[in-house]
Amino acid sequence: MSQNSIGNWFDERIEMYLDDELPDNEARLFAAELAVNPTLATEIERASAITSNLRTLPSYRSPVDLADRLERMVGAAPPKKRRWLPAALAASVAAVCAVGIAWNLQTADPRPSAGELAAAERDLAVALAYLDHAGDVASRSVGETVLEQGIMQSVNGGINKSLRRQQESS
Amino acid sequence: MQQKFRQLITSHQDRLFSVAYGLLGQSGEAEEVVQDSFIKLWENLSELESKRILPWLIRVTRNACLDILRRRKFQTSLAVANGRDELTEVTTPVTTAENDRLRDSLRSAIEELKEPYRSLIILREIEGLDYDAIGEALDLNPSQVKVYLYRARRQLRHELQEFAQ
Repeated sequence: MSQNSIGNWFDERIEMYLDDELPDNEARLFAAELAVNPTLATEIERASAITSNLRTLPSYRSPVDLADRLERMVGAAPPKKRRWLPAALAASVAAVCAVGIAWNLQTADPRPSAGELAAAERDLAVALAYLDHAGDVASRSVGETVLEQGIMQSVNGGINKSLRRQQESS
Repeated sequence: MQQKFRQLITSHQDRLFSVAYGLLGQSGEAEEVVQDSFIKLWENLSELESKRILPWLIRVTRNACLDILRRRKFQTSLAVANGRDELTEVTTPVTTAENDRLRDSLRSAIEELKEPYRSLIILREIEGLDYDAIGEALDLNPSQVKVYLYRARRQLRHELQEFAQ
């Protein structure tokens, strides 16, 4: 125990002694020490003087009587009911539900069942077949367009040539 | 209900004001805090047991005062400049120069105490509340109230050593 903490311990005992709060055996030892220890006696005297003076410190009186003013302020209406209470309860229930749903989503088994797998495989096969068919259609359509454009280009070229020749001869 | 409310105001307004003034040192602010505490009481009156009303009021008043004191920390110079108001005292002790000097020193020493010591000294030594009521108001058990009170008085004794000699 440091010098300071011994001091604190003693100081607290002094206050307890003055308040008659020391346990009997400690109070007896303390009184015996007090009889032979003038330093302790001086400390007790000081503490006692301060405590008794402290208890004579005046209490203050409110400069205005608040009764009339407060009565006017609160009016004749009874104390406000807590209107927010049902809303708060509903919000709490909603919050609990949301937490529960989130928890379920988090803790649900992420692995699909056999049925789900079979269904997914069926869907995948249909999708692939559709894409395959769409690809065929698209490539045929592109091929036809290219062919058509090539024929029309050469036909148009021939027509243009013969028109130019006619113009030159005339 | 209103009659009960009025009785409570009449019974407790001086004590609450004294606590608020003891903590704040400004009568205008103390009055406002006490008024707000009573309005809160009105709103909660139906939910409070009679014997718990005073500790509840003290708790609400003290918390409001501590909020003001926290805000004041940012305006220290203003608080120092304002000083303490002069007020009517409920008791009129013998006014000798020596008494006045001791009371001033005690008041100054109390102002130097930190929380919860300051509130404890005001509530127990000046207002004379019992340990249970103080404990309920300050959220402490009665043993803690006693120990903190010893420590608060010990600090006061050290602050006032010069005067006591």
